[in-house]
Amino acid sequence: MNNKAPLYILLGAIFFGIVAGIFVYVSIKPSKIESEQLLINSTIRAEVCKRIKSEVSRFKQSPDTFKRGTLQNIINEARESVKVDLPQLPLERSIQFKDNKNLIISECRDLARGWIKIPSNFPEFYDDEIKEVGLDTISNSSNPPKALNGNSSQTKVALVIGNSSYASKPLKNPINDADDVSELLKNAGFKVTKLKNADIFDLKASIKNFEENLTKSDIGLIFYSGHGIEFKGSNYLIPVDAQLRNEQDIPRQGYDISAFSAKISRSSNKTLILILDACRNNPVFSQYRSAKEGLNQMMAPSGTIIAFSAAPGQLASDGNGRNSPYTAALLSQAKLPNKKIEDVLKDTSKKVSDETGGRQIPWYNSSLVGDFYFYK
Amino acid sequence: MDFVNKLPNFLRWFLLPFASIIAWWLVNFLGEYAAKLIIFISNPTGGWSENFFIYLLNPGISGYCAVYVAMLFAPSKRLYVAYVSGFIWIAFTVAAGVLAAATNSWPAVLACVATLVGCAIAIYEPLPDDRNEY
Repeated sequence: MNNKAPLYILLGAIFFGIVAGIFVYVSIKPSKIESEQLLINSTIRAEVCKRIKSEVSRFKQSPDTFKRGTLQNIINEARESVKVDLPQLPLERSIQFKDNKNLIISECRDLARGWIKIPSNFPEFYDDEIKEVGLDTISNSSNPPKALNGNSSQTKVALVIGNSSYASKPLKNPINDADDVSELLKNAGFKVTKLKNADIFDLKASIKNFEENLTKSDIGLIFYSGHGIEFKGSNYLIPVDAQLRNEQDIPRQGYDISAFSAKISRSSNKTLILILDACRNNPVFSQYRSAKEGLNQMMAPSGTIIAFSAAPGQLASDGNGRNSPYTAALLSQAKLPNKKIEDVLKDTSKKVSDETGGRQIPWYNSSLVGDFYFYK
Repeated sequence: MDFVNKLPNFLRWFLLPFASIIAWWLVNFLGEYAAKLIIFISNPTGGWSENFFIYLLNPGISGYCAVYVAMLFAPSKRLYVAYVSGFIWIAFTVAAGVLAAATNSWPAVLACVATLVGCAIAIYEPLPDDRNEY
């Protein structure tokens, strides 16, 4: 081999490399339309990630009042409002967005997963959102609520609150309601804590105790009988010592039961049953602009069932007998054996509706896993 | 490199391309950390730029080592091995350089040129064949 061989090898390799490089580049180079599409897709992806991040920040700043749109809404909004700079795009041409949802969030998948795990007052959105990012519902929920089977070996705790002696507008029946419901629950195997005429300190302390007891139990039940009020989308239980002079007093002096149920749902896998025989007539607080008569619709977080004595915005009657119409109907239905709690609440609604001529229609919202029976 | 010489010839031929690639990767990998160390211990106001190591020195040495190690593993015909491995490495490097230039990644083009130079030096200085092969 002569001395020029290395030079020939070098030049040949360079020539071959240039040809190969140009060939590869031409074969992978996107067309003008594809380039525009890639630009649009990547811009929308960046916008979706930004908005998810913003949602997460909003939740961190005010978890109790956080209301969010679905992932689908965020994606739709990003598609419509995102601005893409395409300087060479002819005016008459329109660009069709072709990407799919999974690809859109592929660049911020971890963020989206974290966002989905953020507890929400809208648990029914979970499944759709989880599917949006291609996650498995079961694997995503590491701590699902325990299934109920009415097994007597399950430990059950209950907190029963009856508030009658309000300074301005006292109620007649809540104390009786609390007594009778306590008796029912004791017979059903609950470890019952009863609280009568609770002031704000008693209310907070007892609910905190209940929360601690619930960690050692499988099922928790709270029964509340007394005044309740809705303010700015949250439902507040009103203690007997409340002196509501202005709107700001409602969150200060009331107890936000919506936030409590959401907190229980996200911090534990316990089953929670909330029965609120509240929003009695004489809503002394309705003079305030933002406060509404009756309680607001409250979605049951995962593993929770929430029962109200009246439909959203309706008033519940205190009744003329020993118990309120709702509690009386509930007591009669709950004592029946082999009746699921949903059936108990349905029949209670029917009975109350009949007795009040349709003026009061109790309702409930359930995200229970499995069946629960008071008596089996 | 006694352990290479002790390997059977067929194994040396078999391992040759892998050894060449590993040498190229290892020099780049270690060179990156060596560069950081040198920058760290040198005077920050007058020391070497990290870019010099990453885009010039490391690729140049790794290109040289890739061809050199291929020659080292060859039990015979080392000159031809140098030409063939050099041809392949240079062709790959130039192709990568063309793609880098097409996407305006100029630092990567510089690294490709440095690798090419390293390979060229290795081709011009081939190792002699083992004496027992004659």
